[in-house]
Amino acid sequence: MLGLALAVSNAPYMYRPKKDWQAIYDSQLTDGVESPNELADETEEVVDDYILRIQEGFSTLRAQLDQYKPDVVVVLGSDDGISFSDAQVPQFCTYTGDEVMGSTAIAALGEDPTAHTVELPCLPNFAWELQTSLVHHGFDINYMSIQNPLGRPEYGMASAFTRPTSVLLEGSSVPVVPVFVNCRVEPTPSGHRVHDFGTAIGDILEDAPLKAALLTVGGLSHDPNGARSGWIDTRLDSFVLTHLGKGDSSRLKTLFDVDSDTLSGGTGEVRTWIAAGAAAETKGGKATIVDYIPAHRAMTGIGFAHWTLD
Amino acid sequence: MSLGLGIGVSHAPGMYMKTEEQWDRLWHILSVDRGIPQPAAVYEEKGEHLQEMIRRIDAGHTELKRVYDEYDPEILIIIGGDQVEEFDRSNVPQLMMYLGEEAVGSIPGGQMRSAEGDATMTMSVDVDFSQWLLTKLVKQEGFDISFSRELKNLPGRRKGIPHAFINPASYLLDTERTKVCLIFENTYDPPSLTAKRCYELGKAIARLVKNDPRRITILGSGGLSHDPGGKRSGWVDVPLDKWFLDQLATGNGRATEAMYTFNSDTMVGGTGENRAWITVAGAMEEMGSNATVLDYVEARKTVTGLGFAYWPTQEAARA
Repeated sequence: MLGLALAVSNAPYMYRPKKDWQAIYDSQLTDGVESPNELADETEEVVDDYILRIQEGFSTLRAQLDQYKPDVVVVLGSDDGISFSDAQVPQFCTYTGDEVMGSTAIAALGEDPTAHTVELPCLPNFAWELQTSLVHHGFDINYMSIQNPLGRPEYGMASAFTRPTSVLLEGSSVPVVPVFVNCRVEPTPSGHRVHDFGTAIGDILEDAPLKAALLTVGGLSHDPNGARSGWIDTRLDSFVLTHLGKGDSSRLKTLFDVDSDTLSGGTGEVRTWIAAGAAAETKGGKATIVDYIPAHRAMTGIGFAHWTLD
Repeated sequence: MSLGLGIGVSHAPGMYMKTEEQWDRLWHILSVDRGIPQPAAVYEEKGEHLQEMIRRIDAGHTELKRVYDEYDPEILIIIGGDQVEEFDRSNVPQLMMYLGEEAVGSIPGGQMRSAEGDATMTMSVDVDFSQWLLTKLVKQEGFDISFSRELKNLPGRRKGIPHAFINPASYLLDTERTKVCLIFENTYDPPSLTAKRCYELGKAIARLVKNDPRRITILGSGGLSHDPGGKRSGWVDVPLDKWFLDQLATGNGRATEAMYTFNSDTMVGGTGENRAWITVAGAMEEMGSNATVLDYVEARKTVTGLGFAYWPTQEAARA
């Protein structure tokens, strides 16, 4: 059964103290792109408050997991150039291995990947069942049964699967099933397609003979190293969160039907939130928006949400 | 002859300015003086590069005028919006047809805003045609269109008809030869019309007029991406504009119905004026025509992605 869905952003700032923010920010700037005026308003005190709110957001989501006690957490996330290279970019891909090996090191800080390793137990039989069911539902989804990262092998696995789980599942032995959704390398799946994908996952997890939680990772609006690096589309983020809060994720299907600078880069990861909404809404779920932080010094609209389902 | 020609064209005030000094002044008023951080590409708009942009804008206008004159329409339908020139929040129509005998407005050129006493032009409205089209659209096609028989600007507003109508008419229209039909779309004040509604309006107009014996042109005025004075003033969304024009060029105007289905900093402001183009696309695709895109100019000092396009038909070619 599907009893809980969570959604959380994955900006690297969320996992490091304030002293590290500027170095990360500098690494994500694009030459010649001026920063928005809001940046100047974000004083040290404001950033302190952001960090507190980020910690509280994680704590709230962690409490939801602790209360629900899932048997498995299905994680929807996008690759950030670690697991895949131009050799092959899957639109969707299920990881069916025994465990996930990765690193939460942040390159911009010069961190050694071997000093930040994570290992997460997986649930291969369930992953294969999910994979088979998704194919049966008409999704042409890849599978990955062994890790052979092609992009940046030293990091092992896309950060979407290692970073949030390192906080939310710290000290836990709950297995995970990573599912990749291509949110960054064009051509990417449409909002309609990821909505259908989320609906299928919701139906499949609901029929599963164990307690499943869904964790979706990424977004909200941000474009590090892109044409609008540093800019946050607060209108867009508000639109997304409002409709998830109403249980109306179908309004988000058309989000990527147009090409636009404002939908490029990391903003594409909003796809995972659309999928989460669609999955939760198969059970009538409406998102509880825990927090939204338009953190310009992290050049990301940072969101936390959960769907508590019957 | 019926609906033989469609036109889509931007109407930004900077398009009528001919010197770098004028462009810089406009840019400062709309963006720099408001403290809005600017994209790097704007600083390349100077010297010969800027003069080349001005030449391309003039060439776009000239080619549209040539196509327009060749067809020589008897009626020009203009789809445009109001930017707090005629209406304030006391009554913002989503759709409105103007049924007065004449429509007067200030001719663009040189100044940011036309002052009292600027040169004006007077367009003759084809009241009978407009009334007929209004009635059909309301009673037969299900559009809830307001109408106005008197141009009465609100106190403190610019005099005359909004610039969305006058600016393209100023270089296309021969007022002695052609009457106009003016359709206001709410392109600027949210909540605005959906793109789907705008496309359907165009199709309905085409269905109604396609058997009319007169030569009719429909023109969508405004866009493309821009937000003058707004949070992203000067940040032209080039991928959006190119995608938009590509849909029109391939006869895929239906795809543009995705515009405005979500809220975003990039969809507000003048980008909403793409609605007028979408209505033309609906009309001309109903007539079996795809857009010919003449040019697209990323003119950040005019804070606008400038588009020039027309939809030809076989009937126009025979005209």
